[in-house]
Amino acid sequence: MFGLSGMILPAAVVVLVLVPGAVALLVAVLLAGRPEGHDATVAAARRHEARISAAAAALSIGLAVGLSSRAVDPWGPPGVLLGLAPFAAVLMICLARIVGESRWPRPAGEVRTAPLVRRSVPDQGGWRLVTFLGTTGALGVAFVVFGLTAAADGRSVEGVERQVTYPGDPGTEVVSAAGPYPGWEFGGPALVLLVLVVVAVLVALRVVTRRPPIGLLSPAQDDAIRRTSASRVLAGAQLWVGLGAAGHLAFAGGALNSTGGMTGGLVSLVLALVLVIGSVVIAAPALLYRRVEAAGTAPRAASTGSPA
Amino acid sequence: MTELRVDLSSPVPVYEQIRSQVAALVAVGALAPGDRLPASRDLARDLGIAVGTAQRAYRELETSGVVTSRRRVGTVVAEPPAGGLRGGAEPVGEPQRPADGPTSDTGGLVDEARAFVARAREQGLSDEAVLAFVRGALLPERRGG
Repeated sequence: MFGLSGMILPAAVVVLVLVPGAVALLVAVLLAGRPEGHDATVAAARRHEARISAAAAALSIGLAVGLSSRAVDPWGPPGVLLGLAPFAAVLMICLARIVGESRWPRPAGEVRTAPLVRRSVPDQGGWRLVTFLGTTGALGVAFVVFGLTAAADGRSVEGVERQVTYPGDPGTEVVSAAGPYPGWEFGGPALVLLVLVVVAVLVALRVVTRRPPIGLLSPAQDDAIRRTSASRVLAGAQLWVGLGAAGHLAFAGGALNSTGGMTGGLVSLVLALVLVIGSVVIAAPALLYRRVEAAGTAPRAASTGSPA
Repeated sequence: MTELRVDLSSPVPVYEQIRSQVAALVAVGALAPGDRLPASRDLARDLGIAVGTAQRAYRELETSGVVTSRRRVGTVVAEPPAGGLRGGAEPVGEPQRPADGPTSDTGGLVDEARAFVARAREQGLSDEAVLAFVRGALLPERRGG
């Protein structure tokens, strides 16, 4: 009944580990090869932002790998931790970001500047926030659908097949079940964690939005770094949620295929593939720093408190 | 992107520095009617000053009719009054000021002011020197009033 998990499980672990790992490697490459030409303060601010992002990525990957590689779950049926790992990784990204943002220098010195603009989470999040909320909303609906269509055990799906043994036989209905299927056993905890993920991402974005301006940077430069931080939070969240959703859809698709629900199974598998590719495509551009408008590239003359 | 700058070592109170800069930005059109200002709490955090200081600056601006505070929307730049003067009472002890924001008949003055500042900077004059010129030009008018 769970034969398919023998194939999907290693594949899911590989996807969960290798894709973020490849992204992290790309981060390192881009950081190492970033163009010069900025003053020391901008470079220091970028390094600080990069350290926060790298720490968040490393911690989230470590947590996801740790949870995924546990052979026996301490609680619940096998595989629950694997399904929760991507969402737990998002929580780690948010936690690291919140801690990291508090490490920026506070306003100091006699002369201080501040942009006279109202910053908001939707402004900082932009289209990535809309995409992320759309993805999590759709995944939440999917979990509910999976929960309602799962068998009574909450971890498999049943299908009815008519078996004909000889010509003219009216046949007998045979109920078959396959799993793992993201019913309430898997989807319930994941749904709860998904809600926490949305809250954590919004809190992290709020912290990024409310961070005081970085000393010695022009408002445009500060805004570029702030938007880079916000986009990286959302990119990480999008990547992990997308991969987690793809994993659940892949298991669902495999189980549905085994029980004769070919259409549902195929749709789930295609959606899983689209989610993996789409999440990587959406997340990848966040590795690049946001461009600073030409008018704001000149550093401010008087202000103090440069980042370490 | 418009920014505020405050000097904590200046003898001018910080709230007054904020008030005068916002009023000046409105006067030259850098802030247009309807533009939303940051919440006083956010501005205070950005500048590393007490919230009460930012709130007092906003209160003064609201009193002089430069901004209005609306529930849910926050503090926004007010529409210029039809007569060219910002309505409402001036702060106690201060003389009546002309319009803080540009009106249809002061647009030319803003351009002339910009041109004056540009010429002064070309000649290497500091901002303080430019302000001294303006203050000096205002003196006879004050005596006459």
